[in-house]
This record gives sequence, C-alpha cells and structure tokens, in this order.
Amino acid sequence: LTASARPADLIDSYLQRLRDELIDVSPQRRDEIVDEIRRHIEDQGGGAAGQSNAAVMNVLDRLGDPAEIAAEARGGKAPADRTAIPHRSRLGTFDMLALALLILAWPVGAVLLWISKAWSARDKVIATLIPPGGYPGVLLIMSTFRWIKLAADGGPAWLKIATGAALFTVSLLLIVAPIGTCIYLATRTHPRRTAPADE
Amino acid sequence: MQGSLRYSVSVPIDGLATQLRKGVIEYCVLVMLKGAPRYGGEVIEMLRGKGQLLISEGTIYPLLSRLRAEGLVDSEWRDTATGAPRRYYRLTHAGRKAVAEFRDEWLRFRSSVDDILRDGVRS
Repeated sequence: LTASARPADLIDSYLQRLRDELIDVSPQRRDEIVDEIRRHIEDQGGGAAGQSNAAVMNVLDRLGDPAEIAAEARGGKAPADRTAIPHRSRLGTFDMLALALLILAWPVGAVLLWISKAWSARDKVIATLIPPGGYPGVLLIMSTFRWIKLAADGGPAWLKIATGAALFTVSLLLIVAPIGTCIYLATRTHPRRTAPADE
Repeated sequence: MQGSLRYSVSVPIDGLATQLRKGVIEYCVLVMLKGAPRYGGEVIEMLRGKGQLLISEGTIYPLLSRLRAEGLVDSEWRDTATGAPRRYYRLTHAGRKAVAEFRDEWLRFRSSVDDILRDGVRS
C-alpha cells in the first residue's frame, strides 16, 4: 500500500488478498464472502467519489486481516487442521450387504449397490465394471484360460511361456480386483448429514 | 536455544478474550436474528460497542455463511430503499432450537463460574 494508491486501489488490493486467503474454500463460498465484503465496503462509503484514503483504510481496518476472515470461513481452523479431520464414512448394513453380494453374487450386489445412497454415480459405475461379475464372473473368465493355454501349447516354446505369464498376471488381477473395489467403495461413502430442519 | 526461548513467550493479553469469544460469537449472532431477518451490516452494527465480542468485522460474513451451511439460518435477497439488494439472514427452526439450547447452557455456565468466583473471593 503505497502513499500514491487511490481508494479504489486499496479496496481492490484488499479484496484480492481476501480472495487469495480463501483459496482452499469452495469457489461458490469464496465468491459469496468476497461479494458480501465488497458490498459492506460500498455500504460504508468505500469507493464513493471523493472518499479519502484514510476513510477507506479505516473501513478496511475494521473489517480486519483477510487471513482472519478466511480462518473464520474454515470454521476458525487453520488449513492444516482442516485436512487432518478424518473423513467419516458411515457404512450401513444394507451397504455392507451390497458390497458382500457384489463379489459373491454379482447381479444381486450390483442392483443393491445402485439402490444404495452411500455412493456417487461415478463410484457405482466403477464398482459395476471393475469386478467383472464378482467372483462368479472371475471364475467364468478363468475357465476360458484352459482353452487359451491349449491353443498356445501347439506353438513355439516362447509363446507358451509368454501366454503362461500373461494368464498368470490376468488371473492375479482378476482375483484382486473385486476385493480392491470393495475396499475402495468402503472408503468412498458419502458422509451422511441429516438434512437441516427448516421451515 | 534463542529461537525456542522466543517461541516460549506466553499468549498475548487478548488471548483469553479471543478464546471466550470463539465459543459464543456464533450464538450471539443467532440471537440477533431472532427478532427479525437482518443483513450482515446490521449484525455488525449491533455487535459494535459490545466490548470484545467483535474485533474483525469482516469475520461476520463467513460466519453467517457457515451458519447457513449448517442449516441454522437461511437467506434471501431483498431490495432496499437506499441502494443495492442485500442478503438477509433469518433463523430456521434448527436455529431457533440452537438459540434456546445456548440460552439454557449459558445461564447454567455463567452461574457456575459466578459461584466459583464468589467462593474463591470469600476463602
């Protein structure tokens, strides 16, 4: 803030600092807070023609340090504290049943999964596709490996080794995928907040 | 060692007031919305001159926004006679409940501290 700054510059630089401090707040809330503060400054005569720098600085002083305003936006917590709050996931009995059936009896589990409100649509798509049919599906896919092996047996030695290695890797992935997806889903549940009672 | 000495200086004199304010300011704002819907500037006006309750006026705006996110207040834009439209905040049902709970809790809390202070002075 140099001596040559105009009142409008003081206000702009204050609002920019506020915007910077609110960087880790959602864009919607950030815009709302900056907009409200801008209106407040205008209400106090800030930015009006003929206002002195001293008057504007007074208004900004009373508003306080942008860092303090941003801290309040984060619920009075420093940014580091906020990230340390563990994500609370609540897995209901229904959701756990959906996960169990997803790997044991895929069609039933997939239907329950889509009924559940615990996951986003994106996670539901991932969960439906990654464990290909749950373990029944995995067994079905792996039962075809015998034919692939038989076909490769007719070829040269390197083909046999390459096919064996490829099938081994795919089998491993197929066995791990359903469990991996279940663990992923268990950690991705929406935090369930009860809707605020309103008039 | 010099550095650690510097950091071991005790909390500033306003530390206690800040700690006390943190616990009650949001309830004070809710109480102020009990009578009628108000915009942020009005709430700030009301808090001015109430001792240490409001130091940085700008913090009222994120506070109101947070109270709305928590469902304790809701807001609507209203035109004003003098100028641009303003965002008015009013208590929700949950907000009114929070005010009532705070009032009871505060009275109990205050009387406990008063008792302790009185006994402490006597002994």
